[in-house]
Amino acid sequence: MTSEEPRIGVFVCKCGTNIAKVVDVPAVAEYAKDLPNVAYSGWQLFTCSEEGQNIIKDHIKKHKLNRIIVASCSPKLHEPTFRRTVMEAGINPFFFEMANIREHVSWAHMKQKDEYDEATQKAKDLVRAAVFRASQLESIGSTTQKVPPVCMVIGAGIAGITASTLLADEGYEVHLVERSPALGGKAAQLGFVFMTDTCGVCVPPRHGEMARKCLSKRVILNDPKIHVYTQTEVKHFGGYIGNFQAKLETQPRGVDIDTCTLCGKCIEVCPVEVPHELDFGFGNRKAIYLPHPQAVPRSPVVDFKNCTKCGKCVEVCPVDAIHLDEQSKSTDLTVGTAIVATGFDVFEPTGLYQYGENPNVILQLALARLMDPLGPTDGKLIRISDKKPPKHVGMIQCVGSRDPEYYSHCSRVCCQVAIKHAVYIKEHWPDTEVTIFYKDIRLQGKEYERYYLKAQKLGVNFHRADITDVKETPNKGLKLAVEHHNGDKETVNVDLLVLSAAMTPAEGAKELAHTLNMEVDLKGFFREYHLKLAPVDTTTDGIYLAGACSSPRDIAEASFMGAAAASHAAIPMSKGEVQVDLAKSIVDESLCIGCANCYAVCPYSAIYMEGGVAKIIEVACKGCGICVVECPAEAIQLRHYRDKQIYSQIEGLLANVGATKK
Amino acid sequence: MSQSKLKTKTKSTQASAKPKPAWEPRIVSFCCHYCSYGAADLAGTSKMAYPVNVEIIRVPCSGRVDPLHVIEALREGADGVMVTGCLKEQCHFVTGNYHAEKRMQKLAKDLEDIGLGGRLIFELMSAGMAGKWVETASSFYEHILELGPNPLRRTKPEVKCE
Repeated sequence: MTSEEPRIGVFVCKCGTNIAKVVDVPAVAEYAKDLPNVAYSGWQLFTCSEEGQNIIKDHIKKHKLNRIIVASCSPKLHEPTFRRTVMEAGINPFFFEMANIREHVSWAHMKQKDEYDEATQKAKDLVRAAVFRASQLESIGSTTQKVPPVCMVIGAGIAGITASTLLADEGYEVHLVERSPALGGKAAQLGFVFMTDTCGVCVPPRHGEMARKCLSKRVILNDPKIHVYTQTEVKHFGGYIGNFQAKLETQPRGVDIDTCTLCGKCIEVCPVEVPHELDFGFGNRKAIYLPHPQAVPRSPVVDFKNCTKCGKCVEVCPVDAIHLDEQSKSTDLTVGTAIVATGFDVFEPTGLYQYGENPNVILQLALARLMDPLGPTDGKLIRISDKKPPKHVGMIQCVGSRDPEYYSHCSRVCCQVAIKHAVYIKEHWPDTEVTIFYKDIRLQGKEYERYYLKAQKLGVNFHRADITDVKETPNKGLKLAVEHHNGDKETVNVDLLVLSAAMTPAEGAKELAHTLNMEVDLKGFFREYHLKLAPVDTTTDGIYLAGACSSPRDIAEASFMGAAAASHAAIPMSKGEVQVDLAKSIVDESLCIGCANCYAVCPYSAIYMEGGVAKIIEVACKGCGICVVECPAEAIQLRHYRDKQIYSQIEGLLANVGATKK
Repeated sequence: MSQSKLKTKTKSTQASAKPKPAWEPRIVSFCCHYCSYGAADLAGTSKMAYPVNVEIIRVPCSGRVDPLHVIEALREGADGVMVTGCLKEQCHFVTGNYHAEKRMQKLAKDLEDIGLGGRLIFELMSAGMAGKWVETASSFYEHILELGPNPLRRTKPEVKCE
C-alpha cells in the first residue's frame, strides 16, 4: 500500500449514444467532481478509442492522478484495455477501477425512458462506489514462475498421440500416460475409419516426412523424447503451472515389451479363456493376450485377474520375457504443463431396442469389429445367433444422443460411422440391404458430403423416421415399427440391428477431474475455459484439453485439438517462465492461529501449513477468496478484494442513503 | 406514427402498467465475476429491463462474500441484499458457490432472528442466464417493496454523500 494521497481521476464515457441516450453523462462527470479524493472528472465520447486513452494519459500527467476510474462498459470487456493504458502512463494497473454504466445502467434501463433521472442516479451511485473503493486500492506486483520443458499427456488416443508427437518434435519431453495396455485409443480398435478408409492406428507425419506412420512401427515407443506409460493411471496430482507433481501407478504387464518378439507361443499354451472385452461377447481371449490385433506396444499382456499362474507361458517363452511375479509400481513426475486427452466411452443402451436381450442387436463398435479383417470373424459379416450373413441390416441413429432422457448432445460421429459401415457392407456384400433410420443426417467436414453421396449411389436406404417398437421374429430377426417423419407408418424386418449409441464421458473422467482439480460439466465432460475462444484451455493455468474428453469429436477434430493443445502447452514451456500477477491471497502470519481452515477449503491446494501458520503458494492461488471468509482470525486477505476495499465500495454505493433520504 | 407520438404512447403504457411505488428500495447485489456478473451484463446487452435500484458489487467469486459484507450493506441502509454465483458444478473456482450457499443459508437464519428476515437471497446462475438474473432481481425487488424499508435505515444518522 502506498502512503501517497489518492488523487482520483474519473472518466465518464458516452459510448457514442449507447450510454448518453439514457444517462446524463455530463451530469455524472460533474457530480463526481465533489466526491472525496477526486482530482479530476470529465466525460468523453469514446473512452476506449486511441484518442480517449491518450486523453486519460494526458490528464494523469496534468493532474498528477494516481487512481483512475473509467465509467463505461463492462470490465469484462475493457478492463484489460484500460489497465494497459494506465500502465503506459506509469501507474500500477491495480490502481484502475471501472464502473459499469452501460451493460448495468443504460442498456438495462433504456426501455424505462421516464426513468432517465433514475438511470443517471444509478450511474452516479456506481461511480461513487468506485471512487470510495479506488481510495483503498493498492499497488500489486507480479512474480515469475519457471516452467520446465516437460509435459504430461493423459490418454494416448488420437488427440493425446498428436499432442505428444508434436511436442516431442518441438523438443519438449513428454510423459504419455495411458490407462489401457495399448496405445491408439478407440480409433485403433476400429478396423478402418471414416473418410480415408484407412486403419485407425495411423499417426501424423513427423519430422517433415510426407508419409503417415503406422503406430505399430513404434514411432512413439522409439522416440527418446516420449516416455510411454501403459496400464497407468494418475493417482495423485497437485501443484501449479511449472511445478505440477504427479504420482503415477502402473499395473504389471507381466511381459517385458523390449525382449518380447511376439511369437505368440504363450497365447497358444494359455489354458484360460475369457470373453474378449473388445468383441462384445462373440470372441474369447486367453489370460495372456494381445489387446487387439494392431496393439502397440507389440507384446501380449497378462490379465492378472484371470491368470491362474500355471506357468505354462513362462516355460514356452523363448526369450524369458514373461514375469508373473511382476508388481505394480509407482512413478513420481514433476512436469511444467499437462494435457488431458482421456477421450470418451460409448453409451450402453441396455433395454432400448432390445439391446442386451436379442444377440442380433449390436452397437456400431461391435459391427466395426465384426467387419475388421483382423477381428473375431476374420472380417465376415455374420449374425451372432446363427452365424449366417444378414440379408438386411438396419441402423438406428441417435440412440441416447439428442435425447433429453439420456444425453442431450449430438454425438457428432454417429452419422459418419453408420454411413462408413453402410458403404463398406454395400461394397463387400452388394446383395445385403442396408437401411439407416435417422432424425437428421449431420455431416459437416471436408469431403464428408462425397461419402454421403457415395452411400446413396450404392443404394443405402435412408429413412427419416422414428422406431416406435421392436419385436423379435421367429428366426431372431427384428420387426421394426417405423414411423416416418412425414406421418407414414410401416413395418420393416431386419436380420441385424445396429445401434449408433451416444458418446459419453470416459469412465472415471469425474474421478480424474477430481484428482486434477478440474471442472466437469453436468454430464461429466471436462470444461474448457471458453467454448469458442479458448476451447483447449482450462481454468487451471498449465492444463489443456484435447479430443473427446470435453465434448464429442470426430477423428479429424481430435487431431486438430491435439495440435492446438500442444501449441498452447508449448507457450509457457518455450518462454521458460510465466508472469503471474499477485492479486492473490496473503497471510498476515502475526495474526494466523494455525487452525488450517483455509488449507481445508482451498480448491487449488495453494495453501500449506508450516511452523504453525498458513502459507500461500502465490502461483497456485487463483484469487477466489474462499479462504478469506473462512479465516476466524482475519489473518488472510485477498489483494484487490480486501475486506476494507469491499466495505468502502458498499459504503460508497449506499452513501446517499440515510434516515431522511430514500 | 411520428416519433413524438410513439414516445408519448410508450410513456403512457408504461405509466399505466406500473404505478410509481410508495417508496424506493435500495438493493445491493454481490455478483461473481465469472457467472452472475456476466448474466447481468447479458441482460443489459439484450436490453432486458430489471428494477433500476438493483446495484451490483463485483467480487471474484461468491465464495469471497463474507456474511459480514452482507451485514455491512444492511447497516449502510440497503433494504435487500442479493448474493449470486455460478451454477452448481460450474463454479469457476470449483467450490466457491458451495461455500457461499452454506454461509448465506446460515446467515439468512441469523438475520431472521434479529428482525431482518427476508432481506437476503442467494441465487445461482450461469453467465448465459440473463433471464434468470432479470427474474431474480425483479421478484426480489417486489418482495422487498412489500417487506418495507430496512429498519436499520433509521439508525444511520445522515447521508454521507448526496
